[in-house]
Amino acid sequence: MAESTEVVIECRNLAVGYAPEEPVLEDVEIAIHRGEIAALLGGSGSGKSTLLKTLVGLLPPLGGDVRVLGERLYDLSDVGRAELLRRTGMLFQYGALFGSRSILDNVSLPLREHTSLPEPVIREMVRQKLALVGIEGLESRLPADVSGGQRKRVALARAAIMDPEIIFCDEPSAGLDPVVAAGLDRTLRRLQELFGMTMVAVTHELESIKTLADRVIMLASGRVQAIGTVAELSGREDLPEVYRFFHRIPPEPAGVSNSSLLASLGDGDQEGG
Amino acid sequence: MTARVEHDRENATAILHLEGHLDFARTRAFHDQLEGLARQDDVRRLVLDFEGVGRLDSAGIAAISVASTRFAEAGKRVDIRNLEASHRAALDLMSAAGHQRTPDREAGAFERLGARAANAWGQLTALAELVVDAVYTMGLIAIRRRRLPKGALTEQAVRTGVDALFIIALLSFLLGLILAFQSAFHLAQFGANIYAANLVGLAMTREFGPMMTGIMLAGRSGSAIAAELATMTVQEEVDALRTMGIDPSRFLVAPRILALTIVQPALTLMSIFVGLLGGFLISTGFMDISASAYISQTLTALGMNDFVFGLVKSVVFAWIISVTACFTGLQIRGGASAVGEATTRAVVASIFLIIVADSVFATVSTLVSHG
Ligand SMILES: Nc1ncnc2c1ncn2[C@@H]1O[C@H](COP(=O)(O)OP(=O)(O)OP(=O)(O)O)[C@@H](O)[C@H]1O
Ligand SMILES: [Mg+2]
Repeated sequence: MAESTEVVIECRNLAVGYAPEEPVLEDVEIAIHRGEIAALLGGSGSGKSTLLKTLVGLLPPLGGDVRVLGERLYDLSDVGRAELLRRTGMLFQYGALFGSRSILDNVSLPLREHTSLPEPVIREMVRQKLALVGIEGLESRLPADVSGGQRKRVALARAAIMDPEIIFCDEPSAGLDPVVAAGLDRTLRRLQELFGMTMVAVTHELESIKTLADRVIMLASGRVQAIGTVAELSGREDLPEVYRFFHRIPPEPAGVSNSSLLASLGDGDQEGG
Repeated sequence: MTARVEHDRENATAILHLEGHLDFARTRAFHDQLEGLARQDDVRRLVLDFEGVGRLDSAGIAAISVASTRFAEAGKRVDIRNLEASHRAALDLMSAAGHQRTPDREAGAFERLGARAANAWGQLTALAELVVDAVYTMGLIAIRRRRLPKGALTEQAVRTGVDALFIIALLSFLLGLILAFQSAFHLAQFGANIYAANLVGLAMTREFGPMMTGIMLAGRSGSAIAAELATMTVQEEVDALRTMGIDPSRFLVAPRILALTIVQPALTLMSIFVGLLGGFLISTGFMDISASAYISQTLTALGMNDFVFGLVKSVVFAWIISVTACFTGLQIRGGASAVGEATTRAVVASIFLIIVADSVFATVSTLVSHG
């Protein structure tokens, strides 16, 4: 793999969340190298999207340090941060496409704002990036007039349009059929190989994790539970959340535990019997 | 920087010796050079020599693709040589342009911002920030250190202006009419009919023109801006802008404030004249005043300072409306239901502030002229 030793994302003792009194994640220690593809795993509500927001400059950390491409993201001026963010791309969980603008306008926006490329080149870049994610000929439609999976892929094309050094993806393959999803995984892998793009992707798809991820970052209970390769993590029986995820074991049903409603009530049947 | 061209006249071939990176920074020049070659009749074939190429990114690839389409359309061809493996793979990954062209239709409008601050103090500092930010951004735009997004100003101005034109004209006309009718009866008792001209003129210019336009635009444009920005905030579109390194106050707020700052005085001026026309028709039609007497009376009654007063007010109202609407829109928290709430709040707050500002104007101008 085309990884280098340069660390492009570094979190030290990081705490993220929306209110200081209840952090979503604490003690986050992560170092991601250039060219690496890291999968961010964790149950719903475990803080995956929240962590991404902090990494792309949208949510100041509650404590600790974030460095992206060598810069302390939140110590930069607004202008400095904006410049740094041009070198990264973000795919939002719900796409965040501009509803009143055509797909062409959505995808080309960063090019029009940040470069002075000639119009034909801009259009060709948009066409090629869309083709890369498997979309053709929808440029003049509004986001509302395409399917959910297509919208997601348009958003990915937009995130990748400036050839970012790092791309953050919040569930890139959610809502796609397995064939398209697999194709997308392959494309992402190719982008990484050819352009050395670093990628941090939230995903629940075991398949894409196995084919795509160099390393897995597992979040649970407000912490980073484990970081390692798929091979390393899938064998770890000492980490219940991790083990369950890789072996698709659902958590124990609530009824078994002592805290169930039934257990908290006096059970008349048993007393009488 | 342009690459060295070697012409092989015999075979009508041009060989372009590319050097350095073919990336975002270089693509414009590269594209222009390719366009130039495509237009030369004596070049039937172009050879791109990749010998000296460093990095190749998607901008460079797109330029090559555009050129190959251009050449093909002119019945010419483009060949590539000395391609190293990584460049080959990159070109391979990107699809070639088919002959289907991207349709040229551009879709409608755009906007919005994000926010935090739950308590009153937070709200206040956030408002102050927005105002400072907007003023600063517009200052930069004024001295041409930054540019507005292409077409945004016109789009906003047209949306605000043209849409509201008819309704404001109609209401102003009726207002002029009412003013003339209401005063006619009382003035006639003193044989002072002709002073209807003064009354309608001063009232429309200093008070009703700016006020009516302000209230109409608060209801129409203020609510539209608030709803649009609120929707964008809720759907994370404002966050998306930030992650692209685009400043929402330049991209969303500045064009809206500027558009209203231009459109509102224009509409106010129109409102004043249409109101005067309404008064004129009633007075000359029903009050035994000759047209020439009415006009000359109006001209004596109204001075330049009255117009300046009305227009200055209208600019202040424009700021009240646009800043309030942008602020409420961007500060929104919660889901879709909060959008309606934000919109209502924006309209009520701007109408309230307009009336407060108007009373300040009235007080100050009275003190200045009589105090
Ligand atoms: N804007 C917000 N304000 C306050 N709390 C929030 C906000 N957004 C999310 N949260 C809370 O933060 C926690 C982490 O949310 P987050 O969106 O990061 O989860 P996630 O891991 O991305 O889940 P999913 O897989 O469902 O997308 C959750 O408990 C959520 O309720
Ligand atoms: Mg999420």
